Amino acid sequence: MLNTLKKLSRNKIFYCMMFLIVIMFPHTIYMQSDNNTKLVVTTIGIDKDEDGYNITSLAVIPKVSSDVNANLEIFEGKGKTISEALTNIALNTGKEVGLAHCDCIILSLDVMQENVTQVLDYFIRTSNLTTNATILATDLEAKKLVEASKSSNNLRDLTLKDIVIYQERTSILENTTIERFYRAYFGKSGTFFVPILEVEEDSQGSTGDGGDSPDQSEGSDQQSNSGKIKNNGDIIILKNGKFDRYLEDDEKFIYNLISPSSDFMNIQIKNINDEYVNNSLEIYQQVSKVSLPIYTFENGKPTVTYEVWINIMMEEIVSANNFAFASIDSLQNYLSDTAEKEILKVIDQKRKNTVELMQTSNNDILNLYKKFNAYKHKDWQEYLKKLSNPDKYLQDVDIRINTHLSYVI
Amino acid sequence: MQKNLQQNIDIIKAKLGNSDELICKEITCGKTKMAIFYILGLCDTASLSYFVISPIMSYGKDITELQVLQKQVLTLGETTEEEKLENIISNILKGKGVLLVDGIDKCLVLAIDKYKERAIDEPPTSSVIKGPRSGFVENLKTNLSELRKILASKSFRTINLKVGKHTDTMVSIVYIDGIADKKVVSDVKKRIQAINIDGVIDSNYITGFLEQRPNSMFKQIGNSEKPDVVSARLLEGRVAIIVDGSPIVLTVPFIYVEDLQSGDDYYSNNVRAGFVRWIRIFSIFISILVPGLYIAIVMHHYKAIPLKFLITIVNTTKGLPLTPFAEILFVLILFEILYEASLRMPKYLGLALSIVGALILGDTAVKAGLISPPSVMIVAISGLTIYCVPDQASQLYLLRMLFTLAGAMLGFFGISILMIFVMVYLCDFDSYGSAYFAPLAPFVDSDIKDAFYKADITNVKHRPMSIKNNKKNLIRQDKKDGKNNINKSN
Amino acid sequence: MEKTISTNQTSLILIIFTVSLKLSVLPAITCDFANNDAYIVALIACIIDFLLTIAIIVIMQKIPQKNFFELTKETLSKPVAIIVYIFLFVYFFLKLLIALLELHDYYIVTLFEHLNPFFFILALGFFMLYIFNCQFRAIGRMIEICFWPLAIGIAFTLLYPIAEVQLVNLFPMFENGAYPIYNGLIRTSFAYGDFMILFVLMGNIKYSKHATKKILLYMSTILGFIFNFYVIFVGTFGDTAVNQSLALSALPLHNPYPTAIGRLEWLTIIMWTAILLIQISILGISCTSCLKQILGFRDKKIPSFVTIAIVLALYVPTYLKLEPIVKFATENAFSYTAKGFEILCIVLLYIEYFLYKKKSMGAKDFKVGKKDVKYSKKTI
Repeated sequence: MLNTLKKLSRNKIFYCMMFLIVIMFPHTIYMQSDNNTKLVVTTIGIDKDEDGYNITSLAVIPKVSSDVNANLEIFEGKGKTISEALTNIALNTGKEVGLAHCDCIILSLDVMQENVTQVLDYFIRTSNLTTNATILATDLEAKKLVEASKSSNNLRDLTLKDIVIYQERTSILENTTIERFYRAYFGKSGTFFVPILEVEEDSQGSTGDGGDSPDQSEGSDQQSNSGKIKNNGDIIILKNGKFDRYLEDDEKFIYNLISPSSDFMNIQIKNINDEYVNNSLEIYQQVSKVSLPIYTFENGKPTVTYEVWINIMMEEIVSANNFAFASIDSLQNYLSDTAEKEILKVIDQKRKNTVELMQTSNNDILNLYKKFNAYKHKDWQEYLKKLSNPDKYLQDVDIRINTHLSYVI
Repeated sequence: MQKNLQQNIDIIKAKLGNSDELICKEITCGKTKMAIFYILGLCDTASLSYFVISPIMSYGKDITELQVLQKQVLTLGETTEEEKLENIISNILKGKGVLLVDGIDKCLVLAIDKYKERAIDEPPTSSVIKGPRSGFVENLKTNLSELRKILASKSFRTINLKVGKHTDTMVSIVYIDGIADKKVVSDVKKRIQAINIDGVIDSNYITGFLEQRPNSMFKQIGNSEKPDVVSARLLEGRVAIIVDGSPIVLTVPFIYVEDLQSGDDYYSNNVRAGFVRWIRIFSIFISILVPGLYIAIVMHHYKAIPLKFLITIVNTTKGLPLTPFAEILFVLILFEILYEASLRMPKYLGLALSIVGALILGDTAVKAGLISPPSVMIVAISGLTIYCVPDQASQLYLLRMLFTLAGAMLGFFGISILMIFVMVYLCDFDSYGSAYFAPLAPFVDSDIKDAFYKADITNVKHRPMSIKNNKKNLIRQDKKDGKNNINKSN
Repeated sequence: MEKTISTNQTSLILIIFTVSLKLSVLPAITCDFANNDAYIVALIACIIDFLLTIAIIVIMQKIPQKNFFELTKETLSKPVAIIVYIFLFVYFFLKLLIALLELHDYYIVTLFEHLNPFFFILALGFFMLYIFNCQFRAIGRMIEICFWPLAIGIAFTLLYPIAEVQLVNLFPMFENGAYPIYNGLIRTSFAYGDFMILFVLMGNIKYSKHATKKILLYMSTILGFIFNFYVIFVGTFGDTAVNQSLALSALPLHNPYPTAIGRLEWLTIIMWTAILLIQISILGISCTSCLKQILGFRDKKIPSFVTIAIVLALYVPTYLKLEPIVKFATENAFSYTAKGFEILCIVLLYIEYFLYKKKSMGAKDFKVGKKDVKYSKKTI
């Protein structure tokens, strides 16, 4: 190596490099790492305050521990705007708020009553938020959900986002990210789904009571007083960035059925009497599904027909009267004609309820405007021209579902 | 030279400063007086007595011509006539004997030089699991003989030159006529002839004169300590330069891929050899990039690593007194000190001091909270992977340092810029007309078989196109009787 | 004296050059003009580029030994050659400036939260100082080495977001008629026109057999990639595409799955940082080559110094101001001028070729034509 260094000393490029190193070295040698200068936030909860917003953040603090959750601490900040609240946190912790690992933004219902775009505007503009964070809702304070998520009893290395991933996989939710929210907001439908998580008070009766002593920022450990996170599978609808309503059960069923991305669903038939059972409840589980929408116009009215091929298998039989011995034999096809008709009946009933709800509340959940505009542009434009109020384009839209069932043995 | 013997004796003694080592043996043959000059310790006195002095004394007749001595008297294998005084002195200093005859103004140079040299052994820098284990030694003749043993070809050529005012070192340029490019041979010869230096102790002394960019830190001349490796390179069309006194033989042209190849590759399974070559390529990148990437991520790009890794790093670097850059620099320098110390320390203390060094770095310093475990691990991995390609070790050490500095100062941007800069710099290199990164750049598909993977020897039918050789003689495997029956079974 | 480059190296330089300026801010700008028909704009622009590349390569191979400056000087006159090269220098220089600004924006948005501007410009300045003095052969060789990692990085850029593409965002085509597409085509034309690099490489290429096919194959592959990128970009973002000001960083980061399993999108990001730097190198060397011909220097030292001085003089004041420069580059007047200049160069090339042929037909010892072009069997 000494020989190499001797050679270098006669090289112009070597001198240029030394010049660069000499200039940058003093600054670099004293530079702290990002871990020391930034507060690495993993979850943010936003609540409404009298003056503005109250932000609760879950951030990484170095501790010698193998438990991931032990490294997370809660910090609060208030401000008239989101950026002011985050600056508040930075002022009180001495570290800049780093959003690069923030994958979850929790909004309380009262924040959702106003226009969510005002709240999320900071996050969509900042380049520091690189994870395309998920939006979650909570019925109580977002702060309580953040505190509950910190508790190792609840999560054990899971994040809030992990809880919702199963729901995303099995329902119409898909990815409830900020970018998708804005895509829906700027689109004609303006409709967006957000899953809602609840915090259940623990058995000792005390909930997270950080609200009693509202300091500007608290790094206190709320673990022993936090509640339990509960996911009932509820979904709320945002319309044009504001809370509209909860998604009904029938709607969830139908949207899950026609959504190509939803993996898992149950079909329940109550009080069925066929060759196998009497007066029982049969539950069929979806194994696989192909859903194909077809957009047409019938008599000048837009109609979307979903051809759904769904493979199902028997999941459970709840029989009050007798135990169907034969139901244990998995080689038997238990999709009797009666059962099939009942299933189609159930689906049709739910479909009608869904269409009615969709038209009443004018929620374009399926983004039909964009789809008809894309695939049947001419006919759609003509249809819109005929309407007295083009915003109420859903009033004549019909959704049909042709379900083709097959039983998986 | 004079015709008078005594005058010649006086001249030679005066030239050599009447050194005590210089022996002048005066003998007579009939009435003719003779003198033999040699340096004690450099010649084989037994050969002198048996093949020179004894036959002369037995001859008993007067000698008027040196040819009589050469053809009828002396039983020594190699004798040459010489009349120039400088050459005579040079030969005496090289260990040869010089026979002066009264009345003749020439002398006979007697090849009775015999140095004590070490045995032919496996070189420490390139050991193999399977394959030949002989290595070069410090004697040029022995080295040449080792090459000749392998390349018993009538096209094997040597050009002998002398370099060094005070050392008069013999340098041999070796090549295979018809395979090596004549322009490369003449270029090498010119460069060596142009060397004006007081002494050449090792082949590395003339490396600088042979390089086309002498001030560059990158290797431009190939080297090897093994005759089988050098022979293989000669067969590919390279030119070898053997320096007397050095076991390291130089070869030109040099392309980077040479250092990725090892003798082991040719003596073991092809698939394994190909796999190991890729390991070496990855090792190069790991050795130079890992410390830089680590420091870049920690200092500038915390968003690049998953959260769980980040928490691990954050926990292990908690409370350290040094900044991340200072810490990694400290560990790098510590490893360099350990490396230098292990080379220089006496054997007896080696084990004890190695344990102390390892404990200090690996355990005590981390426990004391001076440095963090990730930085020790990163630098250790980098240090180990450097020795997957030991011929490039000195360059890789420096590059590693440069990439660490670049990563600390400018993060991924600094690493990218430096990487592109180094690659463009090396792509601009030419070693005696051969591109440095051939056969990858420029892409030569026929040479990839022996570069980045190891094809079966039956498929390597041509000499490499990547290096400058005689392009009219590229076929290695001739077809016999118009058919190639190598792979057909009866 | 410029060292010769092989056909393979020419093709790879062309690929990297073609990718420049099209994938950072241009997708959002194109969406601004053409809405969801931005991919149609990209398709038409790529086809035009491809056809014009064919037009140039056909002539270039007929006179492999002459570069554009020498040809113009011989057939028209030296002042004309100098004027053409001045415009060529300005053309490449503006592209270089935009590329530098995009590079900075890409780093700031994707990699850094804080980047010391002084260090950034200093390091970039020294890098340019060395690179602009290099020859195309060194860059070509370097791209040959890095080709597969870069290609994998480029391929991953498309693969990651593929699951997010929604066909509904791509239809209906020509929703607002043909004018937005035409407008988008004209206003974004400065980012295309990659065949212009061939004017600089002309005369230094060692053509192998099937050189035309090879170059065109590489060109069509990369143009196909660009078209696919736009399809995926528009298909993924739909109505919000116009807000994705840095498409290159938005696309890989958009898909949440890699972030869940360990930040694999960083591989693509690292590849693109290297590609952006290589693009700047090619543009810089082109500028230096043009300046060298204009000023009549033998080597590139002084032209490279001059180029870097002008770059830094303009770059430092325009630091962080990509938007005004891009606005200027997408003005109608500028776009028409740039496109007009590109077509003029091609027309000039054809005129010069015919004049040259006529001249050399008169000379007894010299012939020009396809038969007399000697292809090198091995281009080393």
